[in-house]
Amino acid sequence: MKALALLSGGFDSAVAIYLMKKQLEIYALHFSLEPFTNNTPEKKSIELAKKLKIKNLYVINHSKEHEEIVNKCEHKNYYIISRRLMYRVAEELARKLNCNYLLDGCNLGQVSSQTLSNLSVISQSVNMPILRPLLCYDKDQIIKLARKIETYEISKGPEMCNVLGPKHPATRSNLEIIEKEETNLNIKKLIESSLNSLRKVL
Amino acid sequence: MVNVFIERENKTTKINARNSKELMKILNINPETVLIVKNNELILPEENLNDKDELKLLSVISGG
Repeated sequence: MKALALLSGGFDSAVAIYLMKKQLEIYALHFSLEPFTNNTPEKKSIELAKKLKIKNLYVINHSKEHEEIVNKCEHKNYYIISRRLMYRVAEELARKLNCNYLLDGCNLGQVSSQTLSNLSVISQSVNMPILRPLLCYDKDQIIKLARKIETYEISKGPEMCNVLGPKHPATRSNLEIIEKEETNLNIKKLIESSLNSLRKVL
Repeated sequence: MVNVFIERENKTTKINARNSKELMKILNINPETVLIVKNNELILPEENLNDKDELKLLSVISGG
C-alpha cells in the first residue's frame, strides 16, 4: 500500500511520515510558495525526505493559486480554503501515483486553525482517506520524537518562537460557508494549474 | 505606522517599519512562516511599506 504524504518542512509532517513508513510505501509532496516566501521550506523538505529515506519527493509551486485565494476569498477563510485546494491537488497526484492514502501531520490543539471542526471541513474536500497519525499528539511529544529520529535540526527554523509559540484563537468553520466562498474560484482550473507546476525533486 | 493583522494570533497591531523585512524583525516572526498581504494584495518578502498601509500576515501552508 502507498501513501502520498504532505511534507511542509516543519516538525509534524516529518514525524508523521516516520510513524507510518514501516506500514506504507511513502511518496511525499511539498507545496512551495516562492516567491512569496524564500526556498528554505523546500530545502528543508528535501533534507527531511533524504533523512527519512523517502525515494519520491514532488514539489508543486502554489503561489499563484494562493494569490487567487487571497484576492477572491475572505481572509478569515484563507487557511481552510487553501488547505482544501492542497488536498484536492494532492488527491489528484496520489491517484496518478496509485497511492491509497493521503498522510499528514495535523494534530489538535496546537495551531489555532487545526480544530476538529476545521479538519472536518478540510477532509471533506477529498474522497481519499487521510491518515493522521499525530492527531492526538501534543507538541512536546512531537518535538521529542523529532529529536529521536533526528529530523529536529532540519525542521527547526532560525527563530523558534514563531514555530513553537502558536496562540489559540477560537476557530470554527462551516462547510456551507466555505463551499459558498469556493464558488468565487475555479477549483478545477486551480487544480490543473497546480499540477502543471509539478516537479520531481527526489 | 502600519496596521498589521496577525492571523495566527488573531490580533491587530500598529508597527513603525520601513519595509516588510524590518516588520518581521520587530514582530519576531520567522519570514518562512507567513505570507504578507498589503492592501489586499500578496507582496514579496522585502517590499517597502508606507504609513497607512494595511497589512495581514497569513500563515504559510506548504504541506503536512
